Amino acid sequence: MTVFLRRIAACILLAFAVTSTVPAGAGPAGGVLRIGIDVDAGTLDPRLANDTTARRVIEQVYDGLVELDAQLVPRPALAESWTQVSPTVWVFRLRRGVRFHDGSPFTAEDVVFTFTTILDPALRAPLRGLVTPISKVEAVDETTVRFTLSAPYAPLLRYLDGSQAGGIVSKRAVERLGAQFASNPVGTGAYKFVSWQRNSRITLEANPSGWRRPSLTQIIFNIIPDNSTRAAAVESGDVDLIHSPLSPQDVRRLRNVARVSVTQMTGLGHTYLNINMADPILRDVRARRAIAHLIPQATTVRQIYQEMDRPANSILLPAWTGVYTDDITQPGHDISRARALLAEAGWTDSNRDGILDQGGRPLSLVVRTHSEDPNRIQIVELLISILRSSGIDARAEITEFPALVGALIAGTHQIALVGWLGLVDPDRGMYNQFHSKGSQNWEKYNNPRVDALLDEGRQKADPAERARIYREVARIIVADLPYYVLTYQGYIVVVNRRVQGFTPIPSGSFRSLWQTSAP
Amino acid sequence: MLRYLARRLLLLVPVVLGAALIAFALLLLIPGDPAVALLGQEVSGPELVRFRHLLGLDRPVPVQFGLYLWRLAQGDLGSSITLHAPVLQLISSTLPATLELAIASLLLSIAAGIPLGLLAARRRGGLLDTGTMLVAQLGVSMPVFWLGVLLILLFAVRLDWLPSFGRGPALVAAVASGDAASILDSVRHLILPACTLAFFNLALLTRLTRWAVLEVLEEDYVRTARAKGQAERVVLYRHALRNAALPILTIIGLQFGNALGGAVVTETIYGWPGMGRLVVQAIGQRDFPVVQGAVLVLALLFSLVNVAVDLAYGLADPRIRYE
Repeated sequence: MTVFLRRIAACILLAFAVTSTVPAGAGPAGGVLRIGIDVDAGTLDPRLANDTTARRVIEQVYDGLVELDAQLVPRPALAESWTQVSPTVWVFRLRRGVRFHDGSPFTAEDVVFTFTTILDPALRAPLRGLVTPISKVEAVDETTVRFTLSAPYAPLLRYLDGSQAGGIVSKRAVERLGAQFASNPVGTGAYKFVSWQRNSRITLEANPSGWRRPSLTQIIFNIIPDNSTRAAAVESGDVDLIHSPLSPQDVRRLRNVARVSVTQMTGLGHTYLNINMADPILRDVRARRAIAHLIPQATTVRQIYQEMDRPANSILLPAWTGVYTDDITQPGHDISRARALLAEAGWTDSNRDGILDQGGRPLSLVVRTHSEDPNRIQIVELLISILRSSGIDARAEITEFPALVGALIAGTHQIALVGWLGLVDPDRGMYNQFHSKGSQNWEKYNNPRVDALLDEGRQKADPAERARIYREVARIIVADLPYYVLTYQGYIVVVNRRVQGFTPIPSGSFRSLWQTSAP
Repeated sequence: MLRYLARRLLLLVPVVLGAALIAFALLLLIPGDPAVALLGQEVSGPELVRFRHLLGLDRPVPVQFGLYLWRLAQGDLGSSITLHAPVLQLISSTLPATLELAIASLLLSIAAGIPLGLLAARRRGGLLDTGTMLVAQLGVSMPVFWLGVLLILLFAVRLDWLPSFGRGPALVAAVASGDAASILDSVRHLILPACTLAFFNLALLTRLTRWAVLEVLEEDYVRTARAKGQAERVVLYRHALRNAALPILTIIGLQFGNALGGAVVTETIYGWPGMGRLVVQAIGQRDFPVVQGAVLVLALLFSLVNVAVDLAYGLADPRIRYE
């Protein structure tokens, strides 16, 4: 028996000794960039994509007519130039001599096909809503496309960015491959699709005959769902680049790792409380303001996010240059003011049971969030304890994301902690959220002045005019409080120091990968 | 024997169908909608209604289940709602990884758990017994995700011996190709996840083997064997272990099921591209066809292992007859 055990122990030791002589991450070095990413892509058809991984891969394989730079300014991509002929007509001149990865030429027909199919409800394109003001797309000639809009639409150019709704597909490839196109993408981008092993990795290689000359020979997107494993992988050198979402404690550790550099910036998203204005309790603005005074914003940022996110002032994102201002602020943490407001609204503890009531009805609130985000669960638990200590019968309800969004759409929630990402334009962060006809106006907000301003914001091209409009909306939102914006989401990128030329962009885009090298 | 086997295999049909029905009912009970998962937050109320119609989710539940069974009878598991791919293709591309991990971890736990349990039983009350039981207690109570992160930090980050995540080439294919580098790469990727997954089972098996062997060692025939002057090794292997085999075999069968289902956490920590992750993702997104397809395959596998364990009883104990 002991001999047997000794043999086993010797075998295990031998296995370790043999394996340890092979350096970790051995493989083709030089031009290969290994990225660690949190979820697998759902589809690689840019018209159907709706997750961050798909967007990161798609922006390498496809190009839009335009692309947004780090300051969110549209720059030429497949369109060399564009003119707004009238408030509702845009003409795009396309880049000549561009070919798709399958060798077929890129023409105006492909642009027409891409947008016509996105606008067709049968395709089920998730971002169709961003381009519905387009009433007609026509090929004027082989390299000219005309977009006719149903009404002036100022944010159009930003939404035509390749990682938003605008990655141009090859008409011929879509027709040839059918449903297979979603897993065999054919674009014009700097990198070509090579392979996709579900839940494991997506491999791309340089497209040497593209209109841009990429530096890397290969990009591998490794799907590593666990935040801590992803951090360990970049720390050990098994991957070269990871980005948000990351756990605050891992980021703190990575800051002291010599091999990597950590970049932190404010992203294009926020975390907010959606307050249902149709709810009998929350209909009263004094109740909403009292809740706002009870929200532990500073504690949340410091303790839960460990300063990865920033405390938000208003609905305006710092990344919206020219529009953002810190002059507009939400009600601050003030428990006594909250109590006074609730008393003013008629909520008192008449039966001395420790819970505020009005006409025999207790002040009961349910705060919801989704189970996929541990930070949000912690925030809700903290908020519940504060609400309870202020005499509110508060309860948390944590469900998976589809169930939460289902409740938001049905309007059965009272307060929900959720977030928005990828808000490239103020219109993207406000129109559908606050317009009485907005598709994501889950809080049932209805303010004719805000409706008029949001409509005007879509029609005005002048940046100063737009800034005035969106600031006014933000001021009204701060007063009415259909949203309480808790934090501006931070965006963090951790890169191995051997990687050169990579520029992190607040939107989370990996657009600069064509200029990146990993010697 | 053959008749017994045929009857057991035939009985698999209602078991698997029952599992499909339960999975179907449970998915309908939990709130949430695949249409929401597909569209994300961009979805509006009317859009959702249209999507639900396109996906056939607005049909009566019995009709939906009937249609599902009808397609199933034709060998069609349907298509994933959120991944835009046939369910069969998704399962066949992820199941081998899960099987590789589950089998490796099971072999590991058997190879270490049974000898350790035997040793502990033989040296009952000694230092080795106490030490083994302490480690076994740790294995049963330590959360898998914690152990996983710990092993990654030690072996991948600090020591830099093993990769921190992912799967190398498929082990079976690597062995078939005979390419030493491929085999090594495959094994290096397999070590940490297999050890993590094996730890709990190993601990359980060690404790169980120790208990079962100790029970048998108290029996009269063991005393007789010793009185005959047989070597302790023979007493232990031929008499004690063989008679303790039935509960051990039962647990091993159950552990294979555990390894298949329990692989989810390990697969997530190590970014192992298995079916467990596919299923968890599909449940989160209410991707009904994928969940149902996976439940069918898992139920089938689990039942087959149970049949195999029942047959193995006969090998361990000749008194067992199959009729």
